[in-house]
Amino acid sequence: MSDIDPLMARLDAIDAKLDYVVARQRYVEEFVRDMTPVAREGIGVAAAQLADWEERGWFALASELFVLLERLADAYGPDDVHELADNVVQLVDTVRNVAQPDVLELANDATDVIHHADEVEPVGPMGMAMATRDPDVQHGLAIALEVLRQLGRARGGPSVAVREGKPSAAPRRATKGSTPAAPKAAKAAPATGPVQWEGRAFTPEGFLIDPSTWDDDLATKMAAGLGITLTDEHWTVLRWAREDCLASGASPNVRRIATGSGVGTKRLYELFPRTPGKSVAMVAGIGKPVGCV
Amino acid sequence: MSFPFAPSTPAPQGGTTPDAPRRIALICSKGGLDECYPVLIMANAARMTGIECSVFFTFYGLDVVTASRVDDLHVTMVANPTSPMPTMVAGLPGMSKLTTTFMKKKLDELDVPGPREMVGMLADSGCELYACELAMRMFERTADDLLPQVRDVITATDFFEKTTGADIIFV
Repeated sequence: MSDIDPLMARLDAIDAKLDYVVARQRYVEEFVRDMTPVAREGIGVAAAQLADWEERGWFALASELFVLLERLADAYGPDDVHELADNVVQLVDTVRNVAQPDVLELANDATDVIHHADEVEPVGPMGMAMATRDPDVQHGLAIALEVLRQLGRARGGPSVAVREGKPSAAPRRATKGSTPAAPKAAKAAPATGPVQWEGRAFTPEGFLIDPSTWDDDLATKMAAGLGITLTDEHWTVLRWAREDCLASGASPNVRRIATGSGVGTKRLYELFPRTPGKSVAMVAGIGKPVGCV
Repeated sequence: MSFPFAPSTPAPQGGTTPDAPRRIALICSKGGLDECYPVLIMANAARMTGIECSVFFTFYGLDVVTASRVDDLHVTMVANPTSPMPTMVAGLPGMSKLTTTFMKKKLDELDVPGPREMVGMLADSGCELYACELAMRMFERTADDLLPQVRDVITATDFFEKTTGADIIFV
């Protein structure tokens, strides 16, 4: 009896499995029976739909689209598409802006005007001037000007903000950096230091730099260099000019020397020919006079 | 040993020989206070720089060397685009007198001598001053009406002949 128990248990298990298989078979049969009319209907609809699509040219369009895609693939590489993707957001933004109701309405109104173009009267310069009194025209002009301004900025002139990292900006920046350097170099070139003569320092033009290093002997030598033999009259002028310069801090001009020393303009030009102002200052060991009187 | 730095000799100009000094010829055609000063000051500066200089006074510029008028030169702001004063206001009676007084005061502060003294300085410095013969007849003036510093009354042709090789500057 003990040998039969496990056998019975296994038979029970098989019986249970058999029941399950039979039940599933029944479900499938029921499903097929239920679904057959529905599927038949579905296929009919699908066929009708496909026929409809065929009739409407969807398939012809799709095949043409494939041809188009093939051509696109021939002409553009993956890099181009990648680049395009960067601009897609901007593109969509633009489309969205254009698709705003007020913009569309404006476009509609504008086409309305064009449709009724034969109803408006021709306008000359006077009429244009008169039209500018209309507030609507004024606003329109303002908007048109703003649009023009944007168009002008698009030309890439100096008022356009240069974006960082753009290759076109690099040469522009390079020239900006190099231009200020050039005048500096040119400026440095003509600079010359003091000139030594008779043991004293002079400006390149010939004016004694330190008036305290001046003495009568130097004055005589300088005057001789200028072709002047110093007389008492010369010395009067020289000493007056020196005193005046040390007192006032500035070299006297011709008029001041002529009236101050008492020799007069005419005699001054005779004593120190051609350039009396400069010659007196030079021989008197004072700075170059400034002023033009 | 000679002095190595002679006062810089201006480079010769025009058709003159290299040794000839530089020459300029100024033509003073306007008699306003503000219009005569550029001539007088430029001429004086030229002389101080060793440049030979002649001045030809013609049309209203003749007033600058006319003894009875040289101290009465005026400045007006009418039709002066650089003036801050509106032309309508500048045209009011007495405005010219006011602006003249103001300018003379300014010039005095800068120690710029009056036109009469400037003319004297120019003559003393060796600048040649000439009056226009045609303008003299037009304004019915004689040589006695002019300042003593005027060297001669000559025609424009004479002036150009006298100033051969000079740079001509019309003011």
